[in-house]
Amino acid sequence: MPIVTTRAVVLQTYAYSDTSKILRLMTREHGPRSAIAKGARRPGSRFGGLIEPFAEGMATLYMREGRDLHTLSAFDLVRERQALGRDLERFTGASVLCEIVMRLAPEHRDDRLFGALVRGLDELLAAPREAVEGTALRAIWRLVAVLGFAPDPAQCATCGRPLARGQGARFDFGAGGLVCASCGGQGPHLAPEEVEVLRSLLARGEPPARPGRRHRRLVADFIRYHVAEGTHLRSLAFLERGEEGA
Amino acid sequence: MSAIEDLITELGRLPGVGRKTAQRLAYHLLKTPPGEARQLSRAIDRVVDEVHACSTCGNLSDSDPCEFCSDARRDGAVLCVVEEASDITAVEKSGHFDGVYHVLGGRLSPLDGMGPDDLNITALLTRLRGGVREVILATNPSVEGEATATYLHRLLRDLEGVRITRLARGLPVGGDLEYADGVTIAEAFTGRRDM
Ligand SMILES: [Zn+2]
Ligand SMILES: [Zn+2]
Repeated sequence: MPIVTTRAVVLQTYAYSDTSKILRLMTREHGPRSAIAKGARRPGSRFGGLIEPFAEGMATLYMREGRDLHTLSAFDLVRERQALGRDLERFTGASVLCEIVMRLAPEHRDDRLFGALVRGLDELLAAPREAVEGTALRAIWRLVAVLGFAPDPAQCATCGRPLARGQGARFDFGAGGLVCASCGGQGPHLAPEEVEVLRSLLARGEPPARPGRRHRRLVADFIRYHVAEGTHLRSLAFLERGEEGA
Repeated sequence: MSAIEDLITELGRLPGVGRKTAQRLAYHLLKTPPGEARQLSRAIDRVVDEVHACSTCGNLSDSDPCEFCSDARRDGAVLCVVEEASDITAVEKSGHFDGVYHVLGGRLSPLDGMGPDDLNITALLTRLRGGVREVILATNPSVEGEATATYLHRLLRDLEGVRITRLARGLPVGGDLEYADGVTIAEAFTGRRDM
C-alpha cells in the first residue's frame, strides 16, 4: 500500500456517511483519482474546510493497488478558489473544466492537462467581470486541445486547404472543424466575425470580450460529439444556458 | 431474487452503505428478534405514509403546513433559506432564529446536474409576493452553497422592500450547516450581512 504525495486539484466532493467526504481529484502524478477523506465533514477535522471543489493542494494518498477508492490522509492547501462560487459564470466555467478532466482525462500522469486545468481555474478567478465568458470558453477549448481534439481554424477539416480570412464557414462536427465551401459539409454556418471569434478562442492572445451563446453551444456540442463520445457531461447544459439561466 | 438478496439490494441503496455493509446489516436483522425487525419496518412505513414536504416551505413534516409554518409565534416576514430540511434542526439548535424557513431541496451543482429548475424556487418566489421583509440565505458555506446564494441573490435583489442577507462568515468554510455548533450558527445569524 504505497503512500504518495502529489499536487492535486479537487474536482468534486460529496458527502459519504455522517462524517466523511468522497473526493474526485486530478492529481499531477497519477491523473484523476477518487479518495475518501475520513472525518472531513466533522467541524474541526484535520482537513479543515479546505477540500472544496477547485481547491489545489498537496494530497497525501494511501493508494490501494487495484482499488478505485484510495484514502486521503492529508491535504495541504496551496490555493483555495472559493471565490469562484461567488460568480455564476466563473462557477459554471470552472465546473465544466473540472468535469471534462474528471470524465475524460487519461488514467496516468499528464502534466499538460494538469497545467491547463490549473491555468484555466486561475484565469477564471482573475478575469475582469466582462472577460469571464471569453476566458471560460478559451480555457475549455484549451483543455479540449490538450486532450487532442481541437479544431484548426486555419484550414478545412475535410480537404486541408487553408481557409481564407474574412469569410464565413460551416462548422462540421463530423469532420471535426470548419470546412471550406467546396467541401460543403453540415452543421452551423458561422459568419465571418464568428469565425474570427472562434480563431481568437483557439489562439493564445486575449480572449474575445463576449463570445455569446452561439460559441457556448459550439464548444458544448463539439465536446459531446468528439471528445465525450457517449459520456454525458452534465455541466455542459449549464454552459449553454449561460448567465441568464444559471 | 431471494428475500435476503432483495433486502441486501435495498439496504445497499442507502447513502454510505456499500455492498458489504448491506450484507452485515441484513444478517444482523435476521438474527434480531422478529419483533424488533418489524419495528424498523413499521417505522419506515410510517415515515413514508405520514411525512411529506410542507407545501409552504418544503420542510419534511407529518403535518401540512409544518410545525414552523403553522406556529403563530414565529415571524412569517423573515425567511431563512436552507439547502436541506435537516439544516433546520441545526438552525433551531442555535436558538437564535424565530422566523420561518424555506427548504430548497439541494444546491446548484453543475456536475450533479442540479440546476435552478431542480430547486424549490418557484414556491419561494410565490411566498415573496406577500409581506416578506427579509430573506436570509443560509445555504452552506461551500463553493456550491455560495453559488446557490449568488444565484438567489441575483434573482431576488430587485424585489421592492425585501432585504436579502447572507449568514456571516465564521461558519467553517467548506462545512455543513448541519454540523456547525449552535453558538457558531447564532453568531452567523447576528452578523448576517446584506448581499
Ligand atoms: Zn475543404
Ligand atoms: Zn412549512
